[in-house]
Amino acid sequence: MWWFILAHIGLPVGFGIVFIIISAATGPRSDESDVLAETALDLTILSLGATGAVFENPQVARAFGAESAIVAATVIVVNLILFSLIVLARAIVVRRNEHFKFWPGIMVMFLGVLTLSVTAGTLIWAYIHGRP
Amino acid sequence: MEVIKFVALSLSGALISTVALALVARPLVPAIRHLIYPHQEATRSYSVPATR
Repeated sequence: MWWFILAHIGLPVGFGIVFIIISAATGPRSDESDVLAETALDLTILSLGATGAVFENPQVARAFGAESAIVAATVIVVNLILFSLIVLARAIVVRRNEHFKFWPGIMVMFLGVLTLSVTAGTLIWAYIHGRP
Repeated sequence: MEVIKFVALSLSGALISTVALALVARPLVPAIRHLIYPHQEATRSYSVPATR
């Protein structure tokens, strides 16, 4: 259970705070919701990068066996779909020369956190339900 | 059943994280702005219509 809390709450909150600080420090004209959207993009890029490392893990390879490559490709596809939704939302806002409102910012952030959950969830699944 | 429970827990974890990050961002972003640009007033960059 502690691993689950660490993977699904600890990691997104930890990395999220780091990205919020970076986005707030580098984007002087964006407000809180814009920073959340920027953070969602950063979390997605982090998740895509981490997916490769997760599937290098021997426990993950053992858990999924011969289907390991298929599972890896599926995780990447899911992350890319979520990534495209985030980019779409940002493009709409930027094209209209507006800022993110509160709820759209939260929804985009949720998609970003979800990408990290997908990647971390795969790892947790392999450790909890994997073959010994 | 196991998968559904796992997905439900993952979604709720993501939801909790999102709310936590939104709550953290609210005071953190203005604080960082103030730290970096101490003399600049906190403003939004909405463009003001140039109509008089």
